[in-house]
Amino acid sequence: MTHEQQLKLQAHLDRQLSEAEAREVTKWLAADPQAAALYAELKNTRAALVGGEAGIKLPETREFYWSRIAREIGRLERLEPSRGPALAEADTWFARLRRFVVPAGAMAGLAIAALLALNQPLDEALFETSVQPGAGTQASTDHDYAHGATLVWLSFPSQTGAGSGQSESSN
Amino acid sequence: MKFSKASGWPLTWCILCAGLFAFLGAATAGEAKIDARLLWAVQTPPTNSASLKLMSDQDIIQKLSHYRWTFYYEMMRTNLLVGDVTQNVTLSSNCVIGIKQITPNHFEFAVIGKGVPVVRMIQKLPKNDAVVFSGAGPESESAWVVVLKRRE
Repeated sequence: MTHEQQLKLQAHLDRQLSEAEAREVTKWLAADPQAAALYAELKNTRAALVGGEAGIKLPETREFYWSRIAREIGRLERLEPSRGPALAEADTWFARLRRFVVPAGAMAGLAIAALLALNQPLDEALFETSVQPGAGTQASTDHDYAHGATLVWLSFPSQTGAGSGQSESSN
Repeated sequence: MKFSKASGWPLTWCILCAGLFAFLGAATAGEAKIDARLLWAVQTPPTNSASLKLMSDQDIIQKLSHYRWTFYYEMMRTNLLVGDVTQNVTLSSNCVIGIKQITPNHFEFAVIGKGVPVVRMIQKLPKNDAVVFSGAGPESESAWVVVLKRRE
């Protein structure tokens, strides 16, 4: 049996065929046991569905019924924040913001502390200048802050004229 | 341990903090560019001055203004990229300079003369500042000068 034939049986059951087509299908059902069996099954199925869909009669009008449902939904939404303190707090925008801001603030503080610890205190903790002359060497250091220079004059006791390169007016 | 939404947040922030520290560690481990020069300083031009290169860098001349020398001849010049590993640069057969960056602004310098450590120094050296090592030259009224200027 083709799909079209099956659809034709369903259409016959639904009384959607013309009289001529209905007569042809009736003859066909009488001659073809397979078609008759399918038709019977479709008929039973429809009967079962019709019986299962019990009609509900509303005590009020359709509009009033749906407006009552809408009002109930609105009432529950208004009651939502007062269900419980913890749940209400968790749902507010402030709580959501705080959940982000507190760790972000802590992280920013941590970053600042790390930067300070890694850079400036270490820089300042070290001597600006720490000179360790080798054996037999003398070192005199001058700072010219105006021109950004640190001048180290190295002299050796065995040499003559040690320190002769420096001017008298050093900072 | 069950990975719930609540327990996931501390883990996320721990990972972010670890990333931040890694970033900071990388950011502080940069290299510095240092311009190294060996100069010969004299009061009067030598007879062979025509073959010598007179130093013309006005910034360095100003940095050396505390010295009484009039003429500075550039005997050697090199640019260094200094990191946290000691880098040795030979400026002459008698002079080797070792440089190492120990913080973003602090450097350790070592002057080695004829293979012997002469001085070791830790010095704050911001950009454009210079450290100058000098000593009396073999001839009278002359000096050797090593200028280490941080460029970046």
